[in-house]
Amino acid sequence: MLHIIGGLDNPTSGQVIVDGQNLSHMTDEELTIFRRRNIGFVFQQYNLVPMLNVWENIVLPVKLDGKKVEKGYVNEIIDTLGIRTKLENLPSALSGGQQQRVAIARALAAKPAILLADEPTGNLDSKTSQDVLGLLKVTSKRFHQTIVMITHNEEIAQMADRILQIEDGKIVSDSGLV
Amino acid sequence: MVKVENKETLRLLTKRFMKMNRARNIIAVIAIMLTSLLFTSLFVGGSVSMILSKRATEIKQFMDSSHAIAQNLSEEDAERLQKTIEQDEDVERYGSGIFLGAGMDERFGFSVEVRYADENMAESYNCLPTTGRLPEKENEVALSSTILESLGVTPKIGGEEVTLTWEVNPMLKQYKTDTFRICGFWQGGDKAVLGQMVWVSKAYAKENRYPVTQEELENGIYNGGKEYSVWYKNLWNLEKKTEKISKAAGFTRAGSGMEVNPAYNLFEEDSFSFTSLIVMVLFVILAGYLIIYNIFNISVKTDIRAYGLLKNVGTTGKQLKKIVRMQAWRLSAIGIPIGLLCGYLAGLCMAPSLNADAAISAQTGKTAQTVVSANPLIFLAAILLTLLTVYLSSLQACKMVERVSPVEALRLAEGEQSHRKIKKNTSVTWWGMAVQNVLRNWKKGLIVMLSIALSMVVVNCIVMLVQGYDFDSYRKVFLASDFQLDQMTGSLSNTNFNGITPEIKEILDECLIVLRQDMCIILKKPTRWSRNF
Repeated sequence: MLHIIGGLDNPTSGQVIVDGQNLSHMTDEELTIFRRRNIGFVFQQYNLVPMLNVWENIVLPVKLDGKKVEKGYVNEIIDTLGIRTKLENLPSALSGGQQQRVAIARALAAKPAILLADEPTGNLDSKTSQDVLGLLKVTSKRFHQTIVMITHNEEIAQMADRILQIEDGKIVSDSGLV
Repeated sequence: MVKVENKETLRLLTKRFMKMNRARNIIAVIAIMLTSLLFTSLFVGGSVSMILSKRATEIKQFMDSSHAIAQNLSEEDAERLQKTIEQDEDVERYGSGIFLGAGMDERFGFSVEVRYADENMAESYNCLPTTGRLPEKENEVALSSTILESLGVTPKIGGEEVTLTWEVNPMLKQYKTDTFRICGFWQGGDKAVLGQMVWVSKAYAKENRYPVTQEELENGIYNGGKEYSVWYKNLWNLEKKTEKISKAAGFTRAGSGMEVNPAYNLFEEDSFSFTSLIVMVLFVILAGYLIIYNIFNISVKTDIRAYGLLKNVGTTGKQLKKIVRMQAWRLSAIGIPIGLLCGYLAGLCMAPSLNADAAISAQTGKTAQTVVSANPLIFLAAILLTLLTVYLSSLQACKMVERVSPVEALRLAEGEQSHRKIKKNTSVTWWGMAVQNVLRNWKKGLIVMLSIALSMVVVNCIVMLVQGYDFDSYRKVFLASDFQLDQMTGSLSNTNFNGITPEIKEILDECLIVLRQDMCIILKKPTRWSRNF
């Protein structure tokens, strides 16, 4: 579902409307551009570009769009996530938690309409998971960012403002906004 | 679609991909270098050199460096032609001359011709005096050192005199003997060229030339005939330009008027084969294409996860294509210059061997010329063809990255092309495993095998061209006789038997006459004979 919302996959039927735009009618090229301008992705596998350092990974979506990097804004994200000292490092030199923070920073840097997190703590230990989830909450509030997160973990789900429970491809409950 | 300014980012990504693939870079540079080397050596040694060498050899052999020539003209024809030549805007310069007659002296041992020629005509014969000058006064003469040496006269300027007898009219058996002061000479060189020249002054020629008529010229009496050599402003459309002059001068009969120098005719029989050149170019493109295609394909497949990640992050297919292309161009920028240099050196080494045929067709080893050109157009052609090969080779790789699915790429592994079922009785021998590995991706295996096979074909062709020339095989196919006396027996009336050396006479005397047929006498060679004399 997350891939369909984010334009990474196509639905077999129906329409996908994100921020007023119908993704079903877009070409591959248009979807990619839509994705980098409007969607921030945080994957379970981090999916950082291995040959770019941390700073380059974070500003990549912005630079691919030919826009100027808002250094002040990006620095604020970096400081909030606590990865200031790691900017010159390659992803291979970072721990799992650090890589995930970089992924979050990358997702936020382009000021997306929505941030999609696909089991962001799936590959992390419990302590690091707590840190990352805490940061997601903080950044969501601070930068007024909507986050759609997929998780199988009940505890993690409870941290959300709204929970949609899906079983066998159907929504079985919707907690609504608290 | 809005155009975005992201060249800097793409350049950064290109740089990083190249840094990630150092081994691939080295192999790709070598492959591109080899492709460029093949093109350059093909053009330098294999084609341009062959054309230029053959041309230089024919120019030297037939003693004509002009673009077009008209010979054996009567007074009236000559006057008409000269007017036309002077008015033609394609003509850069021209030379004129008069053939007086054959030099007669039993000491010569080779063909000698007494002529008048202006500077341009003397240049077209490659017989400009290197010491002294062309004759101006009636009693002056310029001639080759070969003639002087045969007459026992020291070639030098300073009052030396030489007495010459020449044939005014062979039919009437008229001869003229005069003593001249040597005003110029040059090194005669190869005796087997058309003939050794004696230049007399215009005044002497006008005074003593046989007043040959048109009828006599048509019957083979050329003494007194006039001639013109023409150089055009460029080498394009020589046939058309020459025909134009001939027609304008009123020459309507076939074979009359001006003729293009055969040395400039690329399409004559046994001349350079453009078909062979095109086939070789296509061969080289294919050989280069297969190798470079493989390299880029394997490289992209290896990095497909990285390309998929980039697409995930928001890099479009077009941007990914640009990254692959930029890597190809950067590798070409390194490989091509090295290939050009090595190709030129290889062409220099190959040229003499490739022109071995010219040596034989010139019928003398000394006359054969090997000319190698460093014309920038050759290198430009090699660069463009190499870039074309690289572009074609990277097309498939570019398509692959353009279409990569951001989700699939994260899961992509080698071997998904083949959906063959694994055989139940798979052999566990090393050979069996190797075969299975190849069959797992049969398309890749086929391309690799083709590129290896094609490389062997190219190597074999080069070795054959450079070392494959075998005189005995050539002799069996092209030479029927043991001796061939050219341009001496075309017409008995102007045959100069001085060209038949004493050594040839001795051997001919020993031969038995087997058959006489018209003007052809077939001799049976003696058991003892020598090819070198």
